[in-house]
Amino acid sequence: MLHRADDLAALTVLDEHGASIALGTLWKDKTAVLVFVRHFG
Amino acid sequence: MQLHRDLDAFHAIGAELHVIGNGSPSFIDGFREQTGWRGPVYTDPSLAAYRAAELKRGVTNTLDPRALMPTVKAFLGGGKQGRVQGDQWQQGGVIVIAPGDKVIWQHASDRPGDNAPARDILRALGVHAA
Repeated sequence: MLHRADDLAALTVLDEHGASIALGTLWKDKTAVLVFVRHFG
Repeated sequence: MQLHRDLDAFHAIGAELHVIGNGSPSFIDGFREQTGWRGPVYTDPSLAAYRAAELKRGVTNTLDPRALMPTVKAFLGGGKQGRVQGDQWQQGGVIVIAPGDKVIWQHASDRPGDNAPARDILRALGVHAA
């Protein structure tokens, strides 16, 4: 169980247009529920 | 129970539900088509976030070269990936993070069908759902 998400916050993911998003921005202002799926299809 | 069906409950308490997959960003369109999901979706082709989230078996399965073959085939074929058996919503895991980088709930799926129930997450968030 993680207690801190500092490591995650520094990572980037891509949106559907290929733009980089820093993961930390997702929970900067509100709680984020991150659902990791095994595959897209 | 599938999390996205309880999206309103998450929104009601000021949380947002983000889907993170892996593979090319071009697969996101297909995911939306097949699931009807309208919320935020991102992809983590490097799988760095999967690893950092400590998704146990989910990571192992995802990193298994066999698991990546359909994606590779789709690239080589230049076409859209075919229909996959199983649930598009099969989770590698769920992690709930509050402002300030605080992890307040986590679930790592360890077998197909082991998806995080929305009510458990909502309870962790202080909501007593029916």
